[in-house]
Amino acid sequence: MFGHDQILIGLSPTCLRVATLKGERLGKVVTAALDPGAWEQTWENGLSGLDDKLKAAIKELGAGKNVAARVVYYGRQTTAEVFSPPIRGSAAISAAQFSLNEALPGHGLHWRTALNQLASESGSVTTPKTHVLGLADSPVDTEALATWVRRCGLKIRDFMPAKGAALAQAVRVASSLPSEGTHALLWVADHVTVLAGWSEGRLIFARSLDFGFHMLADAVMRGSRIEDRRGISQQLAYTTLFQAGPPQRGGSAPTESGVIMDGVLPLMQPVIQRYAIETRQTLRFSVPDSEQGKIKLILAGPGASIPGFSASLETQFDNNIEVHLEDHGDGVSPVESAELGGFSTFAKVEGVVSQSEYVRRMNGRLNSALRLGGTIAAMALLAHAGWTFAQTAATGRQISSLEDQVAEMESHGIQVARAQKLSTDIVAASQSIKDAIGERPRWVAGLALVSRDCGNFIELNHVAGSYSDQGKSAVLTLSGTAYPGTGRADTLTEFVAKLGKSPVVNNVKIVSTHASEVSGVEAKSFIVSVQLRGIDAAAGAQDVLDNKGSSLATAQEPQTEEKP
Amino acid sequence: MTQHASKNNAAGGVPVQTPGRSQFAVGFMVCAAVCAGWYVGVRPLEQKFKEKKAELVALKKELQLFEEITKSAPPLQVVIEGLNARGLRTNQATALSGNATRLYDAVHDLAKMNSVRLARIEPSNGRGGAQPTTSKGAFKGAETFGYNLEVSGSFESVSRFIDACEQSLGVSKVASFHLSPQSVGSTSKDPVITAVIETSHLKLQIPNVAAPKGTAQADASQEKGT
Repeated sequence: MFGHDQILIGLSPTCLRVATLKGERLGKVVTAALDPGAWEQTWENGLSGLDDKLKAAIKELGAGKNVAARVVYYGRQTTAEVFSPPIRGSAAISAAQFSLNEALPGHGLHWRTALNQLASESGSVTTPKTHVLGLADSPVDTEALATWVRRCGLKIRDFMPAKGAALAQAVRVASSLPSEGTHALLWVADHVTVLAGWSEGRLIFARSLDFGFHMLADAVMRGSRIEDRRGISQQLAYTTLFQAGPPQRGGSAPTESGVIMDGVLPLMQPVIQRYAIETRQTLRFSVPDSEQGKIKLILAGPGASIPGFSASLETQFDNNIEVHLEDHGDGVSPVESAELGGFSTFAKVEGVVSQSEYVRRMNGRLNSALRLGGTIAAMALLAHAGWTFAQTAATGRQISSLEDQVAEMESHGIQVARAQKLSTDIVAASQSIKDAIGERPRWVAGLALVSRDCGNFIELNHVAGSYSDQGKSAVLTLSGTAYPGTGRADTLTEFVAKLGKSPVVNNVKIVSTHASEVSGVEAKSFIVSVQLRGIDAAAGAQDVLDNKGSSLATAQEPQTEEKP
Repeated sequence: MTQHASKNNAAGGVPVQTPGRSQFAVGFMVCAAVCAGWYVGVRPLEQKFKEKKAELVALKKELQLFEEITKSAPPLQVVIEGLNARGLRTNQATALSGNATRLYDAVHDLAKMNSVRLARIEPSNGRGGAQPTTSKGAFKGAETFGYNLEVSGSFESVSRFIDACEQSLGVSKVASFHLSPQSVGSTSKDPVITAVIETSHLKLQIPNVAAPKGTAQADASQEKGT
């Protein structure tokens, strides 16, 4: 998470620290002392008074431009609390958020907050709790920090309230204590003190107090000025504190810095008493009565390195105080590192960010998402277009491959159409032929019959052939004279009877008779109508079509033009 | 670990910004551009693909149908040849009856063949000359026309002539005739008969009927020889 392109900035009322990082260890630390009296004014001025100091420190560290910076700071309104809702998971975060907002002015509206799960109790205990570190700061101060960091040419990682860092470290140390008995951890830092209770393997409380060993260093500094002495610097006061520790009554020799610690003792005593009172009060109200006498007090944090500090505190308590010292691997002394100490512990704890930084990050994410989405959409569109084009081309190729079959089908269709047309024409022509021919008789058969049956006593004057009944029946009309025969029978009657027996005749009837005398012989003039049987029109037409024997029809047959 | 943004209000003098407004606008424009790109660039391709696919499906269906039809139906060439032969027969039948010049010659030939004297031949104008056939289902373009013939000869010759007019002149019909002896009361065994015959002939030609190749070549060589 942190690398060479990141730096840590520690900001307290007494000192500005800028440190490089080597992994999760502190590298070189550059410090610049600050006037605690000007602390409020510095914030009011938007931290502009610290620009030069920060730029100089960055320059000294040789950090490049746009290095991401994490600021561990003591703010005017920063809040850091450990919430322990008896639930787990995201609900615990929501509950902690609610509690944090309730504790903030205006229910936390506009406040910049961050929530980190520090520890979660195992499910084996009754009502397992989740310990959530809630951090908050005012929008004005976070914005001032953001502007300050940007002004100095750095990028923002986040802003970590030093109280939060101390709480995280204290809880981590407390969680590592034995699960038997009750322990109270007193984490002493520069400007903050954390008290954490650990009982029967469970964190029972963790609270921060807004004072630290800077008050002891301040006592040393003020003590150095008594009896008209020149006094020492703040930095030297810290060094003296961590070298000499709180003085013992009547037994302290002057330190290397020349401070007579006996004079410092009255100034330090109230501070030590405050530590004792705060600790005692917290334990009284946070630890069950049954455990009050068994509490094991442990001194930890950078303040634990102050020699004799635990001994001074022991005078205020009945019990011994155990000192917990650990090497965080920072590679620098507690005086140098101060609020930056134990960075590896809170490296993964997220701090707050200003509104502008939040918006900038959200915009960055949204822009990235937008670019990604736009690119994906464009690529999807292109891919879809490509796929569609390829499919169209493939379909076109499939259609082309069927061209031969289609041509064959079309040719077949043309031939079918031609056959249909030909068939229609033939049917129509056959109909026309049938209409033209109709039911016609073989006239020659009728005429031959008439000629044969006339005999010697029938003389025909006129024979007419025609169609009657709208051309449906062929009729021979015979006009002539019937002479008496040799027998008694009437020759006309015999003639008609003979005609009627012929199969080619359908019907014979005498239309009229008229007796007359011809050449002195009595005769009968008559008109006879002979209805001949016609040949069926269809059969007749077929005969015509099949009449290949007709030399006249076929001899000079014109050639029809062959068309495709 | 969570970060929480503030609301859209001024917060202690710090102007509150809301992320995402410009991105919403840009996102909207990107969406619009993508939609426009689809509409202009991709949609025509999709439609073309759809059309091609539909064409292919229809074509395959049509080919399958064609295959099924050609499997079950008799060979088309055989059917066409049969129809062609029938059309050719029809055209042959009407070739003589539909050609006035040839008909005129043929009537003379028939008269000679049947030993009758053709005294007169004239179009039967009284019936209106060539008449289009108008019955339902009749061949379009078919016409009928007729002649009035006056022949003389023996009864037998005239009878055979009348029959020949129907049997040898293609689609022809003797509509009516009148036979009467030239001299009434003649005792001659084979009196001369005068006949007035009215004929009717059909003119019809089925187009696009191909003559068989052998026939065409034979006819062509015959015409060259003559």
